[in-house]
Amino acid sequence: MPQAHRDKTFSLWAKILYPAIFIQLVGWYLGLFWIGADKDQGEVFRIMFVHVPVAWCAFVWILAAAVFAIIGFVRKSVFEQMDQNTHAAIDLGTVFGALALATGSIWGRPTWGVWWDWDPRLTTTLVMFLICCAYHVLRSFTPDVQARRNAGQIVAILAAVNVPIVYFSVNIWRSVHQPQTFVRKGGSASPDIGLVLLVNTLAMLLLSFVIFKIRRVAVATEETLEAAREGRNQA
Amino acid sequence: MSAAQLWRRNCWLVFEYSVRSVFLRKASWAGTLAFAACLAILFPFAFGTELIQKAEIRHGAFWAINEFVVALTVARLFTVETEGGILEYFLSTQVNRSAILFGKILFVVLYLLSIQLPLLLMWIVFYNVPGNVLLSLGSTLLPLLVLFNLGTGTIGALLACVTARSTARDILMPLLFYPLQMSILLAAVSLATMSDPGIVMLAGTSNESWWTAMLGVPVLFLAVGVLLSNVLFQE
Repeated sequence: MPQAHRDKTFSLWAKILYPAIFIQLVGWYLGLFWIGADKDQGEVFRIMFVHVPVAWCAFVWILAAAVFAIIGFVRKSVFEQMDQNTHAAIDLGTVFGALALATGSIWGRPTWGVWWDWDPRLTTTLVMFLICCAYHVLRSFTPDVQARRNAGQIVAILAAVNVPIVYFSVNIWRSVHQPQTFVRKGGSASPDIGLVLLVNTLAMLLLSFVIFKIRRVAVATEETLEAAREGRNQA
Repeated sequence: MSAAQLWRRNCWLVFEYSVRSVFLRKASWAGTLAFAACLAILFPFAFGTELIQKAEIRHGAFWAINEFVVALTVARLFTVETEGGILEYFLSTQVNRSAILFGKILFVVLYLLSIQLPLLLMWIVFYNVPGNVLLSLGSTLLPLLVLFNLGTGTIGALLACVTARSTARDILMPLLFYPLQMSILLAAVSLATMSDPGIVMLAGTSNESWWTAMLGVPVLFLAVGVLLSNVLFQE
């Protein structure tokens, strides 16, 4: 991608970032002030409007990273671009994974009485986050560019293998984490909670997509800079 | 010779070469066993010599020792071939890449089993495992060990290839290996504990999901390994 095109793309998505943040703020406003307190959990349940969307974003971006990696392996002509997409997607997966763990822990303290429990959902989410961290370590410590791209793409696929395990862990194993409240039939949540949660999830997905586009440009620019530095050192 | 026959022959060649290398360098096998023995001695002091007699701790310690043994083995999986230049020779020929991977996985399964059998004797002696526990474990332990080795061996072989060109291989291998194989460890400990007659299991605990994990993980990672074998093994 030429630098001028990158600059243009960056400026465009940087402008879209502000409306995306605004939509997210509206979603949080609805979650904080429009919805009434939960009869069991009281005010604490409102963290759900942050926790569930960030967890979904983590799943989506880690799965997207694997899809990019597979496309890159299948279509060699776009391998480099797909590797950059994978890199940006895993960056987001890592950040949202960390946020999901942090918000889950904050929610867990008043509801379960502990910050952390070795529950299947929590443990598998931590595993998913650690694999994302390993992806970054791998990229940092593999000097050969082609080897780095190959290894990174494989780790991205391995990280995605874990996503269905995280998602279905509450159904497969006995767990303190609540099962899927909105997906399964006969869920006990009220429709207005479901609606606000949907708004927040869509807003967070939109925001994460805008961040992805900006990060994608940054990844490409970093790689150009790195190649230029290497060229200068060799010269 | 048909493609399937050639594949089997290549696979057997890699396996045979690996076995012969270990046979020639007996110190490597003995060293791994000594390492396992050190861990078997270390755990009672870490947990307390009385607590280690408890059934849950006893089983956990056995599988944790196995875990470290696997990590040590897979970290050195291609060392002999790399040092002797054999891997480059294999890769420069028409040998099917998935045959190399399968040959190596087969070798890991049997190599680990050869360490685990004497380790099992140590465990029985050092941890005072009662006769009735051994009898009830009898039918479960061997398939459990084989599936554990297959799962961890597959993940380990994949990661050994992924991290081969990294400068921080010693950091990356455990960082990727331990999170990815966590479900196998969890399943192995749970199934072994469930077979122990001294433990009263809680209602609703089923061993079917654990067997699914024990079987599913190797199948999943073998499939990923076969699909990506050409990328994993590059000259």
